[in-house]
Amino acid sequence: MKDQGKESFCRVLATLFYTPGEELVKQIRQTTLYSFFERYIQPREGTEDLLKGFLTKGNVENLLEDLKVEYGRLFSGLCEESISLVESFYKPWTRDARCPLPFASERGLLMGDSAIHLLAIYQQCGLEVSEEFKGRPDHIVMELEFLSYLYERATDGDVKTFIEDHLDWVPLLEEEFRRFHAHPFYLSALEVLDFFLNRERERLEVEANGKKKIH
Amino acid sequence: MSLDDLKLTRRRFLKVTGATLGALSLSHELLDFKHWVRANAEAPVTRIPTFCNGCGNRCGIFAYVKNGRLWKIEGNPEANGNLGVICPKGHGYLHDLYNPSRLRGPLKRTGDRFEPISWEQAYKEIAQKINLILMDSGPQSIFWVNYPQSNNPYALRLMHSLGSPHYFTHGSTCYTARNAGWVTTVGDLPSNDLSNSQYIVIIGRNPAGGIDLAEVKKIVEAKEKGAKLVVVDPRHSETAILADEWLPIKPGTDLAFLLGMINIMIKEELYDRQFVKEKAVGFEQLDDEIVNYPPEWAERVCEIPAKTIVRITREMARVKPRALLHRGYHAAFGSQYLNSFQTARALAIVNSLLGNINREGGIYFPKSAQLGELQPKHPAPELPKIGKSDGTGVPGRYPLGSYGDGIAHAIPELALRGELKAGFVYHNNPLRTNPNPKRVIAGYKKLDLLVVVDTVLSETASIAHYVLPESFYLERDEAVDTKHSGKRAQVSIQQKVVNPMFDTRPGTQIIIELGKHLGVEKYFNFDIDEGNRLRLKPFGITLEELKQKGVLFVGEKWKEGFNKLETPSGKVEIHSSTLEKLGFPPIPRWEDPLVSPDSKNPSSFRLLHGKQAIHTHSMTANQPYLMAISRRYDLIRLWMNKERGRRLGLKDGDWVQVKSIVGEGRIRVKLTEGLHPSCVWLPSGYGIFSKHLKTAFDVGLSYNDFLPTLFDPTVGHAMSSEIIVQVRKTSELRS
Repeated sequence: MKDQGKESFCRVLATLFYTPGEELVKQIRQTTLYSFFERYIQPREGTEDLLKGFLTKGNVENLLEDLKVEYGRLFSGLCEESISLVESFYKPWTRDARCPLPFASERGLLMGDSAIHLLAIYQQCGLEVSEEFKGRPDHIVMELEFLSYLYERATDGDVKTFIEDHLDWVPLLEEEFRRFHAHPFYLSALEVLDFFLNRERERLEVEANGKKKIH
Repeated sequence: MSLDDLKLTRRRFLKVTGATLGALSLSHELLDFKHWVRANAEAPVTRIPTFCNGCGNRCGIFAYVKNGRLWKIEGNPEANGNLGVICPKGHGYLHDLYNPSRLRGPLKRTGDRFEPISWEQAYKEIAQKINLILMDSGPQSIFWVNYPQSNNPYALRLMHSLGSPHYFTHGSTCYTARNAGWVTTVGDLPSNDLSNSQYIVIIGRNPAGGIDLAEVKKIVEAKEKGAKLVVVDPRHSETAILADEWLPIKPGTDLAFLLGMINIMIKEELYDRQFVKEKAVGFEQLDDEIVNYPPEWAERVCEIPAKTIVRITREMARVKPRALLHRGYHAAFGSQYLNSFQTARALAIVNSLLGNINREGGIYFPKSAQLGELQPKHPAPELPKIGKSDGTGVPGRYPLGSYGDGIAHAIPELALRGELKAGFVYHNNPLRTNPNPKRVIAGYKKLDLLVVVDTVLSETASIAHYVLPESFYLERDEAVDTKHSGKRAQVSIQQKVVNPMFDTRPGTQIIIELGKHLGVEKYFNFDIDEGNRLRLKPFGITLEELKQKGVLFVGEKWKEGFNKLETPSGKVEIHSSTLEKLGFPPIPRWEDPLVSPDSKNPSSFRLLHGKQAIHTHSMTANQPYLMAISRRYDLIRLWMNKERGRRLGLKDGDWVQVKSIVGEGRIRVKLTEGLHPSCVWLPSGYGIFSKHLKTAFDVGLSYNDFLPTLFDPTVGHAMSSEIIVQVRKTSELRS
């Protein structure tokens, strides 16, 4: 996959973790979403099931309602328990050892160091977080959009740094998704994301070591 | 399949601004997280004065900010209310700022779920529904209830502009009996000059638990100067720990203790004769009545030895007027018993007999800032032409009830009767903090429209039709405040320390915007800043000056003595002709509590409740650090007298079932000698049943689960210690 392709790939992937709408459901129903990912992923042995959640059947209205309910259950924070899609939640709130707040080194909070770091980066790049993600600049949607932005404009070194520093928490989501028996659509979305990041890590590591490109 | 075929990608949530559409301007140093962490450790820290919102005291604090985030808080030493100190609740509540369970935007109920909507949609839909209710049922069918906040005058303005008299506070479940007792006797609610007192008697009030930092500091200061502290309380409270003497009185009999004191003061002529002659009316009638209450009688009723009552009375009289009985708050006579109003009256009379009214070291009338008005620039709405449906101030109903506070625990009854149709609940959670939750839920669910303004999905917010998310207190500018009264008045201000994280708004802004959408915009053509400037005008200080300091002294200093009180006679009304006309005892007389435990039944107890220093109402139990303290020190237990527990076959830590006429629950027991045998005591703040409050959900019990809906006939308060429970050993497992 070329960087331009990865830029698109990340933008589409980001959209999957946003509140589902009619467009998304149409793409699922028409299998265009499946085809899109199939083209980029090029399933190999052991990865055939990766995309099966994008083949979810049913009429558009029911599927949209199902996905909305599921999104609300899993991610809205309006149900009794939910999954956080925010990096800060999975990391110590700050690494500033002098911070006197009682929760300074706790996990499970918002606007941790990762969020503040990303806000500084976004500001320097002239990027603005939309109203929906105010207070969560390190939400997976934001991070994937920024990754897309990096593929478009930055070097592999920058991409590598960003993936290492800010997308290292994605594997923690896997357990959460299983615990909540997430809808197959979201399982596939996460698996594709994880697959993509792993492949990129391998590639960037190889490139950083001056070896031949493998993708 | 190309990207162009996927319409999804049109959506962008990270928006590129026009100026930077060209090449990447990002330095690798900034992108590198570890490098950024090191560089930002040296970022400057700024200090912004504001006040805490962890309870009703609204303590003055300095909030420190680094890299746009909260760094720490400290007490503001200038603030009368806390004198530079912060309590655990203040620190623990900070957690909610970065709590992922906070409300992120307005919500609308659809079936059994909420869906996010815009502010504009929320306001429009609320306005449509309110207008229909106004047409069908009239303005009196709409109410607003809140826990007191600095922006309450705006909420009152909103209700009045709609023509509704129905503005409520939580007062009827907290302090209205105490207030009414004091107001009837001396015309106002006074304060305690603790630090200058030589003898302090505190009946029921527990400033070290239901925390008042300035009071605790002043008590300690007084004790260091040699003052004596006596705590009269069925429970060995946190304040009793500080006391020279703890008197474990039988619950509900504080009035007998006070009548015994009055008896001795008169019999032995220990009272301030000159003060009584010049500044009080009705001493003769008191003299006639009080012969019925010698200390030996008081001992039989309240179980404090007669000789102790006599000794304490004599000790106090020796140092009068620098001796005081604390004015009280919630416990003992705030809203607890059928006799609470007369207990407050008796307490005011004992203080008056000590000649300590508005005296150094006694009871004093604090200086409170009188804020300016918004009118004439922004005309005030007319006062509603209809009286409150709850009967406050109405002869034959609750004539001494506080019209300003209303009787908030009557709201469910009024809703069930169809008299109230729509309500706004702000900074309050009646489903958890009002007695008899089943009835409260039924009442609030009966409303055609329930709008809750909160920061989390509390029990009440969980059943609302619309939830309007308020910014966390550190994220919002608010109305100027006069909470910190004292020997010199203060104005204070809550101001934004960090930017709001979500699509939330300050409470005052929400009220103003509601006004604009509800068709009464002519009363709300101002914003928070303009309102604040107008309200500060009488003091000759600017909003900028106040924001810089957080707290400013205004007006003259307090002076000893008084010419005229705000009573009908202008004097201390030992005998109240007002009460006489209304058919209530004009002189305090002994009155039994409404109910008493069955002395022959080993399982029968009066249920008392009170605060621990780490929790406020229902709003702090969900804070992980505060709950961790509760668990670490095993605080979530029902207190029971050790001997009573032994008779029930209980060991410390055993599970017990608690049952009343309205509720049942299970909890572990704490066996102690620090509690009167006739009662059990439940710490408040627990028993959260909103599943959205994960830390606190289903932990402990709330006393409200056991209380029926009661109304004292004088004031209309909740009489929340007038309940007998049966306590039995049980297992942890629920049946």
